[in-house]
Amino acid sequence: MQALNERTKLLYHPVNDVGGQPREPLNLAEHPLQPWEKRCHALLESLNARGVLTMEEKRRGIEDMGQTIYAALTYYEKWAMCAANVLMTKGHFTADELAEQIRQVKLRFEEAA
Amino acid sequence: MSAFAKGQAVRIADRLTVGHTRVPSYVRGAQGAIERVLREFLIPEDDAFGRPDGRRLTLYRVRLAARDLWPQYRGATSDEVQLEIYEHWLEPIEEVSP
Repeated sequence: MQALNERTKLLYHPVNDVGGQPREPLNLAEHPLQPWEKRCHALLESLNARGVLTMEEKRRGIEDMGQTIYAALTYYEKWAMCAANVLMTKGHFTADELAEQIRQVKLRFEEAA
Repeated sequence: MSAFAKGQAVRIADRLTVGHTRVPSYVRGAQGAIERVLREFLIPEDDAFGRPDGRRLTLYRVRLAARDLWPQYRGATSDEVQLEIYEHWLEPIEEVSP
């Protein structure tokens, strides 16, 4: 491996490329998926199958989040945030439309409660 | 037509990865051999940026000795890592003449 300074290392290791790096032991405990997490998975698989948002676009989007957000979000929170970003980049909807959709969904939840 | 044949010695390119790649950093610059020739696929570097008409290159299964990757490795000498690597990340290793 070439000699790397600290800033160059940031370009050499995408945030999710942790193979071979020192790390605390992994938590291997199983945990049940939330219903929204299953829907998130199904939606992104469907978009991948149709070429709307491919697996590689999703991976790239997650790598681009940066270390702070990457470390803070759960697995499917990363999927959802990245899907929103990539789909907006590709012109499928705007930030305003997404915000309005989120507002309506919140409203429905509050009414149901 | 694939550039590398089964059994051929190769080196995985040692590059920075601005953009996106599926080549983990711990194997960049490592030497190994072609375990098998797979087929052509759209490369991740282009797929990742929404280019379904991007470059299609041959994918290979590459074998790397664990002791080459990690000099302090204490497992069996035959232990190895196999990874799938696209053609543009592989470099031929020149035969050293005696």
